[in-house]
Amino acid sequence: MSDDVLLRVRRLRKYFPGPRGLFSRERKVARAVDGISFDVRKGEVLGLVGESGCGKTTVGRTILRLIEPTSGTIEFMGRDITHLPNKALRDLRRGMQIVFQDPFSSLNPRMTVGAAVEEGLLIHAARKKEANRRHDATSRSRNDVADEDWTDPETRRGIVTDLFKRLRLPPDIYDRYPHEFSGGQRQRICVARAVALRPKFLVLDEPLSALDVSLQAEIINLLMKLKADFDLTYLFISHDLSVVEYLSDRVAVMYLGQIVETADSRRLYAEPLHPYTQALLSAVPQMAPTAKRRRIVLEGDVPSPDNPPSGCRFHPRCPLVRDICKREAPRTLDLDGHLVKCHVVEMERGKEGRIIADDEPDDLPTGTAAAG
Amino acid sequence: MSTLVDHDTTKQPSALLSIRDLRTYFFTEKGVVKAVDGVSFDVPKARTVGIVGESGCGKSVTGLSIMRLVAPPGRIVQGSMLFRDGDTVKDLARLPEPEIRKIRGSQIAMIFQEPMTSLNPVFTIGSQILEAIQLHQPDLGSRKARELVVDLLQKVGVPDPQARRHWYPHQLSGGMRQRVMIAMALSCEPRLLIADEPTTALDVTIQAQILELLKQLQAEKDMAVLMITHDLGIIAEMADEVLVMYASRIVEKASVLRLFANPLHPYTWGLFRARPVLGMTKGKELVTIPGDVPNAADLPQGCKFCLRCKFVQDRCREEEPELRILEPGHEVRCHFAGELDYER
Repeated sequence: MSDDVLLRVRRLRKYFPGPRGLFSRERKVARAVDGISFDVRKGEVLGLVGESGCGKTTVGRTILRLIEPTSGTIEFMGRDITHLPNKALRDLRRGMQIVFQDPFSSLNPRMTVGAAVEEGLLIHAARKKEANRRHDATSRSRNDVADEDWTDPETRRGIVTDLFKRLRLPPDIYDRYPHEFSGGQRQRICVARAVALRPKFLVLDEPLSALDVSLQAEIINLLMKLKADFDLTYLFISHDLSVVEYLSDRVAVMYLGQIVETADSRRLYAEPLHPYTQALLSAVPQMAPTAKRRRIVLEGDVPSPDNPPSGCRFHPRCPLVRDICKREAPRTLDLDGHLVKCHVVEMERGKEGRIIADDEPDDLPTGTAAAG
Repeated sequence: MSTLVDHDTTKQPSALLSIRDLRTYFFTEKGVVKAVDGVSFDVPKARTVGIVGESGCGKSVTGLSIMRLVAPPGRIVQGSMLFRDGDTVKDLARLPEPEIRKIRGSQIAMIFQEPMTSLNPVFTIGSQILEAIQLHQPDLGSRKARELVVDLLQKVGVPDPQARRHWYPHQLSGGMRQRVMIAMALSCEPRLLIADEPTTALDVTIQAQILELLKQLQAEKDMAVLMITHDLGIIAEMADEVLVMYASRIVEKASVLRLFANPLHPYTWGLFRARPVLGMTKGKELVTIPGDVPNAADLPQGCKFCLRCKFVQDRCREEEPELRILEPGHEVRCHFAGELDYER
C-alpha cells in the first residue's frame, strides 16, 4: 500500500430497502452504491461526478459512516474504519468532515453561528486534552494544533474568529443567528464549522449548487486557499462538470451506483473514454454561441437503481451498445492509470492495458502518483 | 456618441411582443418591493430572447407579468405590453381578465422550473393535456382532441404515448414531466412560449434533450420563445437576443454574438468570469463579484451595482445610469462602459 493514500475504498456497497409492494412480501432493494473502489491521495482533490440518483451523495456519507455500508471496506489513514464502534467514530470525525449542499438546513437556527462553529471544538476538547496529556503519538502526529487547549473558551473563540476572517466573513458575526446571513455567507459558515477541528479530509457534497453564480467563485477560491493553508484533502461531489474540472486533480464518473471511469482530470476531460462520460461532457451547454458541435444526446432517463439493467448498466442508453453489453457486466480496464468500465473500449484498447479483476484485493493503480 | 433608449410607447410595434417601461411592484407590510422596475424590450416573431440573471433580479416576475399571473400583493403598476394578435395589437397590461384568459395558454404559454408543482397529481397527464385543449379549442370534437393528446405526447418524445397518457405525474421522471408540460404548453400552438428555468431541476443529459426538443419545436411552429435562465451556457445555445437583468432592471441588452464577444457591463463581465468553463479555465483564477445578490427591497442609491463593482467611482454612487446605446444593437446601463479595462 502506498503511503500517499489517505482514504481507500474497496468494493463499497450500500443497498437501501425499498418500499414493500402492496401485494408482495418481497422488498425491492435500491442498489444506491454497488461495488465501487477508489483511492483519495493526500493533498489531492478527487472529483466525484454524476447525475442525480447515481449514488454520489451516498458514497460521501457512507465514507463518513453517516450511513452504514452494506459491504466493502473503508480505510482512512491506514486504518479500517468500516466497523468502528460509535465511540471510536467520534475521534475519527475529527479527522474527516463534511459540507452539505444546502446551507439553509444545515445550520441550527437557534444557535449563534459562533456557537455552531465552536460546538465541535467543545465536544472534542476534553478528549483532545486527554490525548495531549497521554502524549499520544498517533493523535499528535495527526494534529498540527496539538498544543491548543480547546477546553479554554478564549482559545476556542480565537480559533473561530480566525476562521471567520479566513473565510472573509465580517468580524462581528460571532453572536448572530443564521437567518441574518445570505446563502453565500451561510455556506462559508458551514465551511468554517467543518474545518474548525483541523480535519485532514473534507467531503464537499455539492457545496455550490444552492448558490448564485456570482457567489460561487468566491467559495471556490476560498476552498482552494483553505486547502493550501490547512493541508487538506477533498472529495468534491458534484453534478457540475465545469466546476469539477476546475477544482479536481482526478475525477471519478459515477453512473447508477458504479464508477464507470476514473482518470487524471486533464486526461478525463481531454480524452473521455466511456461513452457515458463522452455524452455527459457533450451535454454541457457551451459558452460559445457560434460553436457548432456534435452533441451526443442520450435517449431515455437514468434507470431506477432498484432494478438496474442487466450487463452494463449504461447499455439501454448507450450509442455504442453491442450484444455483449446486454449480457455481461464490463470489467475495469486500466490504461496507464485511466480506469474505464466499458466493453467497447476493452475490445478496442484492451491490449494496451490490463484488466483489474473485480475480486482483486489490493492496490488500484494510482497512475501518475509516486508509488509508495 | 451614445444615445438614450427610445421609450416612446405610442409607436406601433413590429415585434410580436413589445414591452415598454414595465414596473411590477409588491406592496408588502415591510414596504414596496420593486421587483421589475422599468423594463423595456421586444420579442420578435419566431425568435428567442433570453433573460439572464441571478435569483431575485426580477426575471421570473417579468415572465409572470407578461402572463398577468402576478399574485397580490404584487401588481403591475406601470408600463405597456403590446402583443400583436393577427392584425390587432393588444396591451396585455390593460386587458381585462376575461380577455387575458383567451390569450393566456392559447397565444402565450409558459413552462416552469419544477414541472411537478405545475401538474395536478390526481389527474392523468392525458386528461390534463386534454383539458387544456378543450378549454381553448371547444369546437374540436372529443375524439379529435384525444388524438391530439397522443400526437403531442409523441411529438415531445414521450415513449408509448397511447399508454402513457393514462399515467399520473408521479409515475414519470422529472424529464418526462417537463416534456408533458411542454406538450401542454404547445397544445394550442402558442406564438410565444415563456420558459422560466425549464431545465434547472433536470440533469445535464436530460437538459440537453429538452433544449434540443425546444429548438426543434420552435423551428416547426414558428414560435417565439422567452428563455429565462441563470445559465449563460443555455443563453449561448438558445438565444438570439439577450437581456441581462440585475436588481429589477435590464443592465445590458445585445444580440447573443455581440454579448459573448464583448460584454460591456461590469456585472455581465463578472458573470462570464465567475464560473469555470469546460476546457477553458482550469488553472486560471476566477473573478469574484464581492458582496451579495441585492435585495429588491433595499437597493443602493445611484447605480444598483455600485456596491459590488470593482470600477466604482463617485458618480456611480450618486447618479443612476440610464440604459444607453453604446454601439448599434448594444445597450448598457453603466456610466463608464466601454472605457473600462477589465483585464487589468
